[in-house]
Amino acid sequence: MTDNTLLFQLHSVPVPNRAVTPSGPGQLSVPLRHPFWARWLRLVLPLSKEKKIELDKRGNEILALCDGQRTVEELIDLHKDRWHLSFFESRAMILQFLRQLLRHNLIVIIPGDAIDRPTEQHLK
Amino acid sequence: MKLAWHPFIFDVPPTWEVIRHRNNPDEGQLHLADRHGEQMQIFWKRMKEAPAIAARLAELAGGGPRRRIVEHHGWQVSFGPPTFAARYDDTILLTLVFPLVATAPVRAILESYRPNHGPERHWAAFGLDCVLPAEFHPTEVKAMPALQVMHFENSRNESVTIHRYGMLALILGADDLATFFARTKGPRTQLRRTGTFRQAGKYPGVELSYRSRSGKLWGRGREGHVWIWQCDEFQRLYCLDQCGEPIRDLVEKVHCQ
Repeated sequence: MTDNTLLFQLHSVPVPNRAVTPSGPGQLSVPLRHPFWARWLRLVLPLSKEKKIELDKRGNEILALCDGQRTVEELIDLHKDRWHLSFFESRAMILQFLRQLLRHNLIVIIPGDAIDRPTEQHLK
Repeated sequence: MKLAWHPFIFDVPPTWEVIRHRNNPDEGQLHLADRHGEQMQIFWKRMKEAPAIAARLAELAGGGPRRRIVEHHGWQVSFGPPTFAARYDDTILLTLVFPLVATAPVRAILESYRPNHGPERHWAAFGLDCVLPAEFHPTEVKAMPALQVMHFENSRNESVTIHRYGMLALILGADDLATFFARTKGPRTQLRRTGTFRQAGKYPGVELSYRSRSGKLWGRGREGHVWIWQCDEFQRLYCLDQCGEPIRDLVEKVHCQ
């Protein structure tokens, strides 16, 4: 991995999917969008309107940190300090977990330069 | 932080971590990085005759503007960045590349170099740090998040395995150290608790023993000793598993970091 790819990865921001709702203790519900033809199929097959995903305590903690403001690097640092890990240990864990969240549509990743985050200038 | 692998020992900044390695005493490489990218690449190659180091450096720096090669602490160096350094020591050609690092830290790293030979070898990488008799060679290295393992063997199939665990609250749960190790070792090994000790005079631990099964039908198993201790200072758990003839003061030759 080149240094530029690493920096791009670290400065990206995970943003939670607003359509996701809690549906029980540690359980999340992701609405599904079916194609047009599936509406007809639903008459004969019990197609679900949502997908339920259960995260453990640690998973929920990390997902809660994905607030659309923190960068991947900040998440890695928080996890590193919480568990006394090295940077690359924490990075491997966080990236693996974010990949899972992405796969289940719980978050999207916005490239660091593309997001309109409040900077110090904005706050002034 | 100490970095010791087959032919070398260096002192490197504590934020640098090994991200790529080869476990071959005759030819290999080790790459170190921090959050800003790769900081140091080490290449080694066993050569019967001393190579033309200046030509090798010129080849490495090839394409760029012509740079001066100076001698520093036994190294031939072409300062950059990128900085290239090389030396031929005890039939090993060592080549270092520092893609980003400024001159002052490079000088300090070059000055910290010691050859890793003698009756005892130093092994320090992936958060593990130990000194073992030279006859032991690493046969397996696992570097995963919160779990690092290095397994060493000698020609008599005696072994030393060092495990380093992180995230203790999660992996230990309600288990004590002996129960935790018994769980990782599996139900086929009968462990006996033989005592307690303090590693480096401060970290409390338990000592266990077991008899390993022989590979041959009529062969006798070997006696194994295990030392497990929890290093609260760094929130790590260490397991040292030694199978074969006891090595004197082995547990004190593992350094926590």
